[in-house]
Amino acid sequence: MEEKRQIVEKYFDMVYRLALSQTKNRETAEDVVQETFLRFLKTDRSFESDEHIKAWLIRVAINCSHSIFSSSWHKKTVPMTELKEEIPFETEEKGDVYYAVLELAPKYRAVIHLFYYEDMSIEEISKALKINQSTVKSQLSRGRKILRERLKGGYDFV
Amino acid sequence: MILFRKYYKEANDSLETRRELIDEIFEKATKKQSGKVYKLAVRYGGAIAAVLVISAAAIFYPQIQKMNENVPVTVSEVKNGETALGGNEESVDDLAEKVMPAKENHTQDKTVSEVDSDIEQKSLRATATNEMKKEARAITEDSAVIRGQVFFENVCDVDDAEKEVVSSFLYSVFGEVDGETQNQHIFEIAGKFENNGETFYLGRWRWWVIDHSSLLTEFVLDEKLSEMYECRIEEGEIIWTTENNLLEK
Repeated sequence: MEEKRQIVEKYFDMVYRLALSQTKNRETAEDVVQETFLRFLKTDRSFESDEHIKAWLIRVAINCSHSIFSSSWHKKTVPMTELKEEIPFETEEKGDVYYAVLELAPKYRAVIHLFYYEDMSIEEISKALKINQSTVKSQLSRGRKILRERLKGGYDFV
Repeated sequence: MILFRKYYKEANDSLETRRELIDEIFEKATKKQSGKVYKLAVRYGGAIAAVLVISAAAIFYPQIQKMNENVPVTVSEVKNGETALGGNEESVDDLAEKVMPAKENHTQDKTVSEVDSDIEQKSLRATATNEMKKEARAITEDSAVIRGQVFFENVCDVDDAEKEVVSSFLYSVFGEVDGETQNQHIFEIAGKFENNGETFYLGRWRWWVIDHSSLLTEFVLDEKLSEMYECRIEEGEIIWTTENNLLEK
């Protein structure tokens, strides 16, 4: 159990931030985190490596975000204006960038978040989300295009 | 050129996370595990008791034989449903007892020949009981687990007035606050769906803890408001068992 606790502590922030990017609601993100780690504590699956655990947690967190916590459940989703008041950023740029990502469609949001925040490669994202590398590439490219149009600040997306 | 990656990273890094949630997760995980252990103990408790009866009979049989045939001896029977945890395996054992009732359940005086035949009967009964237990267990498990093909996307909306009626009912059953922790209950009704001709509400039960809400469980509640079960949602499918009706507590 102690070993599992260390893993939960290690990936807690990662799962929370990913969940928040998917759900756009702090409470719901916490529910996703809770559900994800409860599944982790319950699973008998043996993991080959840290990377394997990370990929598994990412997949479960995204599935939870899209199943339990979507559609009619969250009709009362916090509007973006309220969320902006809830999560203020020190600088305007950070807020602009963060909320621009949150306004993307969920499928673009996931790959953008994993690529730019988790520094995952296209191959890693493809494995974690169990989608083709070509799909990851096209979603990443489409997401970037939308962000470029919205941010209008001459951002570099390397 | 402004680096998107840099700002996006900094923005995410500055998000505060509630690390106390880790303890809450482990608390919940531990509770769920002890529940499992308890169920397991109760489930097999009766079987263990039956084995004990047979073993005790086998151990004491030679001693009993040595005794004078005409001298009455006293035999105490182990009551079948009791388990080490004090649980009572009601359904399975009761069913077996009803099909093949014991002569007496209390202490009584018997002769060795009677004891002899009792032991034989007991042995036969134990075998038959075990078989029946297996069957009863299978029936119980089959009927207890409903794996409905109910997908989350099939959940229909419920209007606010109906939600109000359902949540008022739940408050009337469980109270506004939890008796033990004094945390305020929050019942959310997501919608309703049909399963095998019955209509169920799908909802969520939370506690309000100081300044945030904490999810206790998702649940399904039948439209007649007589049965309520914990449920889980896996890959978009709502799954629940009928083992534990929360409204009967």
